[in-house]
Formats: sequence, C-alpha cells, structure tokens
Amino acid sequence: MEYILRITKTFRVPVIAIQRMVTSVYSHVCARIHFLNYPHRSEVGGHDYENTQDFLYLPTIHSAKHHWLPENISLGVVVGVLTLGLFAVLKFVVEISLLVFVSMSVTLFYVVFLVFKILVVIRGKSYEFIDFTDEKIAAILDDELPMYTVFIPLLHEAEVIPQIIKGMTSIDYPRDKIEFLITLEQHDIETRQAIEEVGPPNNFRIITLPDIKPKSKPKALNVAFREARGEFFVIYDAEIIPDKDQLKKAYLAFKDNPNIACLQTRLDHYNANQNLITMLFNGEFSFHYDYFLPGLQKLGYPIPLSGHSTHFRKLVMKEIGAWDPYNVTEDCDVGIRLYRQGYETGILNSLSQEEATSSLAGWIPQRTRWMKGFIQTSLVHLRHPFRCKNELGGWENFFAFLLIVPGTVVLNLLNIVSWALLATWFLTETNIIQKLYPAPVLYMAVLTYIVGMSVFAFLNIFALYKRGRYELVKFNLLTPIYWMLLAIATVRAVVQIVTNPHTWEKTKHGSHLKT
Amino acid sequence: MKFLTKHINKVIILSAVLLSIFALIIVLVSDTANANGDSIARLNLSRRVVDGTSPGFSQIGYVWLPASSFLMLPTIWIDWAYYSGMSGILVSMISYVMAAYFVYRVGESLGGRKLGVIAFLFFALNPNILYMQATPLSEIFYIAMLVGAIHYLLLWARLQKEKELVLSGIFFTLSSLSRYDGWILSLAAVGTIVIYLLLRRVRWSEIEATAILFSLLAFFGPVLWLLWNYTIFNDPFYFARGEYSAKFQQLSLLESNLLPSLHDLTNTFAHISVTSILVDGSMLVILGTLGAFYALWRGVYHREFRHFIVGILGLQIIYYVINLFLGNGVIFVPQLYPHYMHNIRYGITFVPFFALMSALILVRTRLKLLAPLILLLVILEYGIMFSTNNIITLNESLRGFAGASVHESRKDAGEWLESNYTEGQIFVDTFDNDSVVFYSHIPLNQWIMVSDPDLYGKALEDPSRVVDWVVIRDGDSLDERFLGGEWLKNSFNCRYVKDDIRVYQIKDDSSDDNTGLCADGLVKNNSHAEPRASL
Repeated sequence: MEYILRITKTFRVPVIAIQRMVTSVYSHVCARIHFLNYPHRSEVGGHDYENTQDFLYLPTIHSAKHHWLPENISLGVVVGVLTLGLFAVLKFVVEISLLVFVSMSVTLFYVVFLVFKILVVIRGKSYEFIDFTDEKIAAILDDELPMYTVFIPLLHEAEVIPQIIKGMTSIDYPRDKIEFLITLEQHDIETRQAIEEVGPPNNFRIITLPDIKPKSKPKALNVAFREARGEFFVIYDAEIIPDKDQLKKAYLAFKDNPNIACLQTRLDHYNANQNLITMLFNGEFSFHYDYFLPGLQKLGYPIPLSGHSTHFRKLVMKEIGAWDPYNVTEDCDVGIRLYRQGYETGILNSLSQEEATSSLAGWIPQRTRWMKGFIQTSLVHLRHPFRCKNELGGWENFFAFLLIVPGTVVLNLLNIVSWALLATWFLTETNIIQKLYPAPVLYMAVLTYIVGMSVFAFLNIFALYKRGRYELVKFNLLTPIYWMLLAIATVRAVVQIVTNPHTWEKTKHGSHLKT
Repeated sequence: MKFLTKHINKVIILSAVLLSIFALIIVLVSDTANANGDSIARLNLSRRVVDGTSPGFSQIGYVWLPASSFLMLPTIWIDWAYYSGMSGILVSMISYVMAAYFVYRVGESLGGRKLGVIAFLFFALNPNILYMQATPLSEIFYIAMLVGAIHYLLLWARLQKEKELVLSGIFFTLSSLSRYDGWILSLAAVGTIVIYLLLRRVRWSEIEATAILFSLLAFFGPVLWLLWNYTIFNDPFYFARGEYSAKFQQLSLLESNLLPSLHDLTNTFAHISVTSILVDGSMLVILGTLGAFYALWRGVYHREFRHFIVGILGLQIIYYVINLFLGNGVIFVPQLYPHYMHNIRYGITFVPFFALMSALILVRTRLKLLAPLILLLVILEYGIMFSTNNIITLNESLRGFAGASVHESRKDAGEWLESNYTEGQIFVDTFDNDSVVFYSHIPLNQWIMVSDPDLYGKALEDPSRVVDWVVIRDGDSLDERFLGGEWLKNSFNCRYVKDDIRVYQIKDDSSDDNTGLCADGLVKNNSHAEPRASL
C-alpha cells in the first residue's frame, strides 16, 4: 500500500506540472484568440430588456441572429481536422478506405442513437408525471392563487378564434387573476375583426406588434413578455384546448417544487383521425410525450421544450433573457438554456389538445421550421462546446444534448442516404454496393438500420396502443414513410439555414373545422 | 410445508438448478456432451464469428437459426468453453431452468399450484430433457422461449396488460430465432389472440391493434431472418431451398427411398407416436393425450380459454405430423423402417405439452385420487429409462445418423491432424465434417471453409496455390470436385486415410510420395452409395 502511495506521489508532481502547463497554454491561447474568450464581449452588459429594435434581450452570442460566428467556424474546422486525423490514423494502421470509414461511422452513430433512445424509453416508464387529485385542486382558495398570464400569439387565425376564446374562457381560474395577452401583427386585420366579433371578456388584451423584423413567434412573445403581469405564464397556440384545471395544477406544481422553472404538459391531437398525416403525427407525438420526454426527465438530461402549453415562472424567464426572436424553435433553445443555467423542468399530468397539421403543404414547412430551429439551437449552444459541457453538468448530459438536438438532424439526413442505398440494393439486386462495402460492415449497417427502424416504428405503435388509439395502429405501420417526409423537411431546413435562416414558415390551423 | 409454499418459485428454480448440475455431471463423466455431430457443428458455427479466415456476424449462418449461436458468443472465444462444449451447454442449462420454471407457472395458471408442481416434475425429471440440457443443442432453448411465451400470453389473457403481450411476443420471436417450428406456433398465437378477443366481444379496432402489436414482435425474428438470407443470397427463402437446406437433404433421402412417412398418414402417425413414447415416456404420452381431450372439453364447454392458449404447445406435435407427411422433415426411429435413429430428439419439444396435460388430468379429474400413484409410475418410468440406458436422445447422439459412432472417423482424422499438422491452411468442406475441425484443435483461421466464399472459391480452382492441406471425406463436395483425390495427385501427398476420410499435404522437395496410401479411398469413392453419407 505504502509503495502504491509512493508511486502515486512520485507521479503526482509531473501530472500536476503537465496540467498547469496545459492550462497555461490554453489560457494564453484563449487570451489571444478572441472567439475562444468567454464570457463573450456581447455578454458584458447582461440582458437588454430595453431593446426595441428587434426585441432581442439576449447577448448575441446566445442568439441565432448571426449563424456563422468565428466560434462556429472554428468548431467546424476542429471537428473536421480531428475526423480527418482519425481517418488518417485508421488508414495507416488498418488500411481502411474512406468509404468504409464513413459507413462505419454512420453505423456507429445509428447504434449509439438506437441504444440511447431505448435507454431513455426504458427509464421513461418509471417517470411519474406531476399530478394532483381533484380534491386537492378543489381545495385551492381563490385568494391564494397568483396572477397568471396566458400568451396567445396569433397570425391569420380568424377561423379558429371562436374555438380559442371558448377554450380559454373555460379554464378554471379566477377571472381577476388571469390575463390573456393576444399578440397580433398590424396587418392581420381579419384576425382582429374575428376577435372583436366574438367579443371576449375584458381580461383579454390585444397587443399589436411593431412592424419590425424578425417576424416570428418568439419576437411576439418577447414583446408581450414586457406587458405580462403574471407571476407565472403559459403559452397557448391558436388551436390549443387545455384541460380546464391545467393552470391550477401548474400552480400547485410550482408551489410544491420550487426548483422547477418550467412545466410541460402532455399533448394530444383532437383531429388525429382526420387523415394519414394526422394519424402518423399522432403516433409520433404519443411516443414523444408518453415515453421519450419522461425518459429525458427521469435521466435528468436537457429537454427540448414544446412551443406551447408550457408554463414558466416569469422571474426565471427574465433571468435567462426570455426568448431568442431569431430562433425558429425558440422552445427548444429555451429548454437548453434553462438547463444550462441550472433550472429544472417537469411534466404535468395534464393534457392539451391541439390540431395536428393535416396537409403535406402545412406539415413539410412546419417540420422544416422545427429542423431549422434544431440546427440554429445546435449552432448557438456549440459556440463554446466546453462551456456548454460544463454548464450542462458534464459529458453525459452533453452527449445527450448532442444526440437529442443536432443528432436528430443528422439522423434524418443520414436516413436519406441509407434508404437510397437500401432501396438500390433491394430493387436492383446489384452487387455494386456489396463490392463497395466489406461484408461485415454492410451486414452490420443493414441490420442496425433495419432493427433501429423497426424498434422506433414499434414504439410509436405501442404508445398509440397504450393511449387506446387502436384505430390508428395499423396506419402507423407506415411510419417509415413518415420519416422519409421528415428527411425531406430536414433537407429543406439545411437549405434554408443558408438561404433563408430567419423566415418563420407559419403553420396554418383550422383545417379540421372544414372537414 | 408453509415455507415451501411461501417460497415456491424459489424452490422450483433451485430444484431445477440442482437437477441441471446433477445431469451435467453425469453427462460430463460419460463424455457424451458433444457426442452429437450437430453439437459440434453448432459450436463451430458460433466460434467462426470470432475465429476464422473472415470472422464476423456474417458467419452466423443461414440455415440453422441464429439464436443459440448468438448466445454462445460471450464464451465461445474461450478455448476451454469451446472445446468442452460449455459455451452451448451453459445456454442449454440456463434455458432448462427457465423452461422448468415457466412450465410450473403455466401449470399454475392452468389449474393452481399443485398442477404446476406436478407439471414441473414431469418436465424437469424427464431423462431426455436432462440429457439435452447438458449439450450445446438448441432444443432446450427453444422450449424455454416457447413455454415462456405461453406463460406471458396466459398472464395477458388474465390481466389484459400490454407488458405481458409484449413479453409474449418477444419470447415467441426468440423461439422463432431458434427453431422454425416457432414460426408456425407464433402464427397460431396470433389466431388465438384474435379468437379470444372476439369471444370477449372487444371492438374490432382493438382486436386488430392487439394482433398487429403482437405480430410485430412475434414475427420480428422471422422477418429479420428472411432479410438476412436475402442480404447474403438475394433470396429470402434460401434457408429453405438452398443446397444445405433440409429440403435439399430430403431429396437425397427420397432418391434412396428413405422417406417412409412421405404422403403416408399412418406411417407419419406411427413415427410421431413412437418418437413421443421414446422421448416422453409412455405414461406421459397416454396421460397427456387424455389430458389434451379433457382440456379441449373444458375449453369448449366451460369457456375456459386458457386451455386453448396452453393448447398452442400441442400444435408442436401437429407441426411435425404435417412436416413428416409433406416430406419437409424426417424422423427415424429404430422400431420403424428404415430402423435408424435420426432427429428423435425433436420429440423433447412435446414434453412441456404432455407434462402440462398430464398434470391437468391428474389434478382436475377423478384421477386425482390416484395422482400420487400415477406420479410415482411416471417417475418410475423415467428411472427405468435412466437405469437401462434407454435415454433415446443420448442413444441417438451416440449411434444415430449424426451420432458419435458415425463421426468416429472424423474425430480420428481431427486427432491425427492435431498431432501431425505443422503449418499452412487446411481445405475442408465443413458440411458434416465439423468434427474434423473441432477435434484437431487447430485454430479456425487456418481452415478454409465455405463460410469464406472468396478463399473457398480460389482453393477449389487450384488448391495447391492456396492451401497446404486438404481433408476429403467420401462423397463430400471436395471429393466430387477433386475426383476422389485424383486431381490432387500432382501437388499433394496423401498423408492419412482411415475409413472414409483422407488427408492430403502439399508436396515439397523433401517429402515422400505417399499417394498410394489413398488408393483404397479412391476405389471406395467410386463405389460409395451409402445413404447416410448424404446426411
């Protein structure tokens, strides 16, 4: 034992010396290279809640306002060089070809993603949603309830206005303690008229947005945020019908869990049976909200939040700089930002019914926006990868973030290549692919791909079955087709991130009312 | 007694573990664990994944289903575990304990704890089951998965929870990845689920969704297998119609008029009955048959659907009846023409059904008055099987078509190679020659086999440029290719000949010309027409 201690002590000195040397070199490099410095110069002044130019309260380093900052480029170069280096080493040591290297990397990615998702789902089973009995909710005194703000960002939603007003007014919360802030663009005359026609109660307030760019939902929220009086607030999109007692449940959850900054709810579609797209959409959501999100919660991984039916503490939101008006999935970004600043989230056992996009013309742009937002969020949070790793709580959480956000985009893109290869092989029975790849790599790739695809399709189906949506089960056998559409949307997102990064492709609601 | 009742599950598992170890010791002492040629072939199949000229999962094969080979992988790379067969035996032993436990649980679901315990005893004490669980063969694993699937299906029918349905589906798919019988039984399970839900007047959408959910799991294994075959051979059914498929082998038997049960129902039933009696014991077969009729009566007249679910196990027998009748499978018993022993071990897949049905009739009818006596008689019959060396699966392993006696010459050749091999690649057609490879103790990466098609093809073209050794058995593909060794004369010396095996070594300047050693073999090759050579 003594010997071991002596050895340890002997080696401790050089190890510490090396550590100090590396740290010193690193800090010198950081001091001289501007973009490695953090905090970033834009962070010096903190959040700017006086900014009415574009309502960006965050420092630009935490925003998607500019995508290609030196930090992003440097990261790209480093990753590229490391990858090439690894390839060079492998080529030198085991004489591996570029094609084999790429296919092995892709297979490895699929395996890691598959294992990760399965682990998340397994853990998700034991997650307990935050819930309260009817008696406990009924026992809340009106006096003890705090002020609650409901944000309703609208754009060309005249058709669903009666549904919104009806849904909102039926929420079980004292009228004098709830305010509804509807944001409208100046030019959106028809929605304004529709609201006036219905004549909502006086706790509904319309906030007209200044005619400045970016024209996005998070900018609308940031404008409304300054006006909000509530201690807590929630965002409801145009088509949402929440459970009547959702706000009271959220209040109790916030009260009982002071560490929780944000609460999500479970989502479902009221038009799930409308057509094939809504059926497949519902399968995806059932899995996401019943298994995947609870799994992430249980494991304590960063959560990409939902865009609506999400409840926040206003103070916390102010502390983290509210939303990024330039990020087209501001929800995902906020989720990661909350986590980086040490806040927790939870899932409330309360259902919010929403409308599933029911046409390809609506679905593709919606998914394009989601994937574009995932790319933006990745770019923003990976500007200082080590800082991100530290703030997320270590390597495990960092890798989880990599798989959840950029990993989803990469998976969708790789799927296209995999499908193309698989289809070519199966349809043409050609030996070209077999000749290109060594047999073991090919078999493993095919097996992983098919097993992975089957497992994820099965999980969607299982989630539907568990929800009692039996009539949708058979249609969800077509889930792989749905993923092909997702891949198309992701390609569009990649193109848009270059050509049209901040454009918000609005999802049209109300199609179910016509049917 | 109270303690036993309270901890019955643990007692059952512990008893199974002890029985398993006890049987293993006997089998190891008698050195019969690897007696069956198929045991060695299975070990080699798994070993090739980690050792060979082209190791990897592609070596897992395409005719024999892969589950047991996969399960051997964690230990197959250890020489001791491979050569002793323990890699496969461990899988079989764990499977035996699982199977015994599941038989108990199914019995318990069928008619209570007493029924479960009796079924467990009938199953776990069966000498054929005990022998097979001490071998690397895959039948016990299949039984464990199948009975496990039935257990969870019964639980699902009682509790209506998705978890049990999912588990049942997974067990069915695992059974389907170990034996093709599982495919048909999975199909029967889907039918049973649909009928069960129809009888409960569940709305159609739920029935449909349940059937889909279950099928996705239960047929996942078979679908993967079809894709695997397609991936390698561009034919999803290559396992069924390829050159090493059962059907292909049956053709040679047909040519030799050795398929007596083909399109002959009486003969088919005779074969199945004799197989059942030989493996399961006459008492169990009689009681089990009565029990099956009783279960049918309970199911139909008393609407006790659980009897139908357990009845899925009985379809195993019908599966073999159809298989034998159509000529897709073959079982030879010594009592019937052609008086050989072959595939009798398949009869152990009937044991869980007969054990459960026998226990059912003993516990649920007036026979319960005689239950202790009958139980004693069944165990006595097992004892007689054991004491008179009448354990048919063991006898088949020793003297059957794939048995040790037939493989003696391969074993001898392997042992000769172990002593005389110096260096270089060895060329062999592994089909039915696995024992040569196994007993030589030469690493698999020194063997050029059909599992490495590139090298194999090159060696077939001109062996002298690729290999230093060639092993030929009368009637194998190398024997045919090299015209009984004639083709090798210029480049190779015949170094070993015994019975039907010859070993050639490449000539070098110093070596003697021993070609004449194999002259007898050449003559034999031209005249061989023994049917068993093709098995």
